[in-house]
Amino acid sequence: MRAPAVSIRGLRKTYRGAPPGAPPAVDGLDLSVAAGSCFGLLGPNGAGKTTTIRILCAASPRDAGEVAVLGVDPALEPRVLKGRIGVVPQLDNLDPDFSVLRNLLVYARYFGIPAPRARERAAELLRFVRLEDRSGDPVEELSGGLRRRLVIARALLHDPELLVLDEPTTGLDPQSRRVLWDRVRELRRGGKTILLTTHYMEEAEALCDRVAIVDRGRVLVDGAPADLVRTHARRSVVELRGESAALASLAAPPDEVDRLEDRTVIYSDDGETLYHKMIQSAPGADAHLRRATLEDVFLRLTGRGLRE
Amino acid sequence: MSGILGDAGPLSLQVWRRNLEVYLVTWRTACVSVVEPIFNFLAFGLGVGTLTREVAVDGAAVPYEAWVAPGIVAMSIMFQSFFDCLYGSYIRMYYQRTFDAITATPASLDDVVVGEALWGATRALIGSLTTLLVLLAFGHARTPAAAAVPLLAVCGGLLFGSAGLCFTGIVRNIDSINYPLHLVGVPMYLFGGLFFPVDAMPGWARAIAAANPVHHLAEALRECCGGGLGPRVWLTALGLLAASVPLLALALRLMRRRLVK
Ligand SMILES: Nc1ncnc2c1ncn2[C@@H]1O[C@H](COP(=O)(O)OP(=O)(O)OP(=O)(O)O)[C@@H](O)[C@H]1O
Ligand SMILES: [Mg+2]
Repeated sequence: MRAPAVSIRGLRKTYRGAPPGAPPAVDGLDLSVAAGSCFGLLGPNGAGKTTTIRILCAASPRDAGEVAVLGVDPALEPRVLKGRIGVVPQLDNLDPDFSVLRNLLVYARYFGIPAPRARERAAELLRFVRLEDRSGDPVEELSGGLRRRLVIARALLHDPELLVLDEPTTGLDPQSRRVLWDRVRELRRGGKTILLTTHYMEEAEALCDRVAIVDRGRVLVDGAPADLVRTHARRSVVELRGESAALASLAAPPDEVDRLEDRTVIYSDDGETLYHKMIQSAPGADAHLRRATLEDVFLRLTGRGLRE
Repeated sequence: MSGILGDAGPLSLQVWRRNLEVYLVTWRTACVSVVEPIFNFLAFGLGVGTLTREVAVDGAAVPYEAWVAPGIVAMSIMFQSFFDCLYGSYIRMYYQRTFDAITATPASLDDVVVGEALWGATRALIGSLTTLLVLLAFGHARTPAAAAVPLLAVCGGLLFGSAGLCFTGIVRNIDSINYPLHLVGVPMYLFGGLFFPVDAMPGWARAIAAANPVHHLAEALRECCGGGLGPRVWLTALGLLAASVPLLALALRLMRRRLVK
């Protein structure tokens, strides 16, 4: 078995200047990302995803814990490590004064890629992210989706072994998002390890081999999305509204029931049978049967309250 | 993190080159900073020159226009580098997140800051050369000794650029840039003896001028624009360069404190 691409144990970090008594941004986080896999870091706002990513990309120092990225400790050999990973930050930082192509050519120089090779590579990558027709356009004129794709191309110039994407699809329309998914899948097929964060659970289910749900700087659970759904939200979900909530009493262990303000949610391994029982005993009840998703797991584990 | 300039290395030249390319791509806006010294020369040389025809230098009378011309070069050197490393660097750091982009590559923050300072020196060089062209056009630098101007520009630019970066490392926001700009930058050139001789001023003002690098820069520029290449020119270049090293080291620390979180 190959060594994990990322391995983190007991990671801790409190930002300097954080208000006294504020909880650490990362508080004993453990994580292992298998080489060649796509791993999703999920969690509410402020959970510590970006902080974790910044630490493993050598952009931020840590207070405690062991971190090995591609076998390298980011705190000890940042330059070596940064030459082997590609980073797509949460906030775009393209050069607004340059064209699409020049953004890539200039960036390639920081990796020591010789100019002729950089030109080839840039052309290749612009095709890869479907921007080949826009290479002379000023970056300022690109839409959010195109900018995101350009940032991804830029992160791939030096053919990194690990690609780290912090919320790559936030703010994108469904079409752009799917183009991006498609590109990420292709990279994974090509053998790259991918670590991404997202607030879209269907994105994590669509892309990731494994995910970790992080909250308050700690991993709550990790595993394959389907396994997590089965363990924490069963196979199916029946949602009941209003009067019909009384029907929740029909649920029997190991079914699990969450009572929310406006509805009751029942997680069941056999939601179909449960649903039909309900419809029979109260025809016309406001009941709704659906497949359990990662979003159910996320909400059950991290709670429904707002974070920030 | 070893030497006085941290772990800055050859990649700082790539940071410098990026800034140069932006400058070349956005040449239209860059032209504005070339026009400025022309205005300064017209206002001070020809304008103020109508009030004060001559300046006494070591007992000899020098036409005011010829006397003030190197002062305008000094102003250009100081302002181009100080302003770019203050305002320009702040925009790159905060609004464009260019520093974040670059430090995600093998380049370090120290490379970025040193590259920015080198760029500041380059802005000073460009400013000095364009101003020098204006002086040549008006016949105030017709001497081979004026070839020392670029050297003084680079050394001075490195110093004022490093000073600008120190402030970039501590200002709270873009508006606060006005403090170093108007409370440090402007007095430095207004009272640096660029537009009127400091000899005529009270003792305390002369003492302040003696501690002002812009003043020394202007005096060295006067010497070489006047045809001399005495020790003052070389010592000033050396002094400016030597002073910029600790200042740049300070800028590195302040920037690390600000950005490494
Ligand atoms: N530069 C900083 N200085 C001080 N505190 C910070 C800084 N950056 C983040 N924090 C705090 O650290 C915690 C974790 O933030 P982080 O950005 O890692 O969360 P996140 O999981 O990426 O959230 P989001 O989903 O909103 O991007 C938050 O409480 C945040 O307020
Ligand atoms: Mg984040």
